[in-house]
Amino acid sequence: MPTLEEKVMKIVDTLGTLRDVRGIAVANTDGFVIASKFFAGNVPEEKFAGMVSESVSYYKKILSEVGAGHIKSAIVEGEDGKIALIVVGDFIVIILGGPELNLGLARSTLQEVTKELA
Amino acid sequence: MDEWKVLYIGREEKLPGWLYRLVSHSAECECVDTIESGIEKLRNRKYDLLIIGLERFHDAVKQRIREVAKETNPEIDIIYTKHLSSTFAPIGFYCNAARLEEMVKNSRFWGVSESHDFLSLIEGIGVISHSAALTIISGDFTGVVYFKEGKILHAQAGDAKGREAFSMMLSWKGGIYFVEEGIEPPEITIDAPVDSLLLGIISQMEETKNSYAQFIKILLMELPGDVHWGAVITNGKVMGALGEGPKGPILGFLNQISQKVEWIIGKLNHINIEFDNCWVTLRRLSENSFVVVSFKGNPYIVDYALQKNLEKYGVYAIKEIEKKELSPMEFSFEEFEESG
Repeated sequence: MPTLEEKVMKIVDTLGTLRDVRGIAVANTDGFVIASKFFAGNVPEEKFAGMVSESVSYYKKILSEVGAGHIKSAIVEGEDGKIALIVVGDFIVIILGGPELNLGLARSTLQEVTKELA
Repeated sequence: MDEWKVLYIGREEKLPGWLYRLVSHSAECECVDTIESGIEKLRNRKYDLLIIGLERFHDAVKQRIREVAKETNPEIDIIYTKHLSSTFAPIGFYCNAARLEEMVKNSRFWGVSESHDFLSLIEGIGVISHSAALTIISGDFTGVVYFKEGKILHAQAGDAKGREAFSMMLSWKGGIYFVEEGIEPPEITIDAPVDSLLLGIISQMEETKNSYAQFIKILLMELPGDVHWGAVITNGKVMGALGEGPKGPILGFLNQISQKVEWIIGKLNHINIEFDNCWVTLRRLSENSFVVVSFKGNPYIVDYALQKNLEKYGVYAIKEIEKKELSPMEFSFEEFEESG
């Protein structure tokens, strides 16, 4: 049976095959980054990890305050890039992509590859 | 360093989670629910922070508690809280007794307004004062308005001056105020009779509210699926909202996200969030404005329809509204949650 580390690395590798992916991060819901991989050299890894941790704290806050249930996924589009993330159990998997990232494909792939984490 | 000694005077069962934990887990935090026991505690121990539940006492009683607290510790910090049953941190305001003392020393009168705005106070001072300065402290904000012979000559709130500062102060609710007579304005930025200025700004605020409400109505028109609510955020402030549902935390959350991610993906255009029971989508309307919609249904179809509505009415409408340079209604995300 694969270890957690193996499962996470497999997720990171699979997501890395998508077109125009700049970085991938897997964090736990305490905000600690478990694994990450960056393809574009200009992404400050620590700053990105900080953003991931901060996002986790927002999710936690919103979970306790909104009657809408748990957050399952989110897609954020900017002028120069996109972020797709999925929340599975105690983990958050985040893809940072460029403008060419196909969000539909990214979301489906996220759902598929994170099944083992649930 | 010694632990902070905190006294809460109010009903324990109304304590929100965080305050309850503070009181129950620290020997330095105490909770009493009567004025007598509060005063006794204050006389026998030097507290650093006093929290007074506003639902409990009248102004005169609160003033007495304040005075007793100051006798033991002139530097004591005081927080007045409201809505303790809320899941949010309580809405309230903070003052430092030493600063309060200094500010009221030369004032003719001062007071605490718990939840109302300052309209009637401004109107009243305008009528009775030859020359006066009204200082309002509401939460983290402080502003001053200068009156002379029925006119308002100057207003300042933070960096804002003149009409802008005055409009901001009119939208504040609750706080401490001081009136000092015989004070001349340091500069003249307004120079208008109190009543006509108030009338102008209030109708402008109403227009803002109506323009945005109307605008959201158009955007939400004929959206497929089950739309719960919609809201417009401009420059990080909620300008108007329509529909029912817990907007406050979601809008606050989106606002924070929008500020945090721009460094990495550039100007934010769109966010789609999937919850267990609904979807929330945010779309950019203009340089400064976003629309947020919460709904149940197929996100791609709703998003497509929303985008069509935006193309058809949104861009033009928001530019028209922004052109009017209307001052925002100072809604907090929490206020929206409560009214929602």
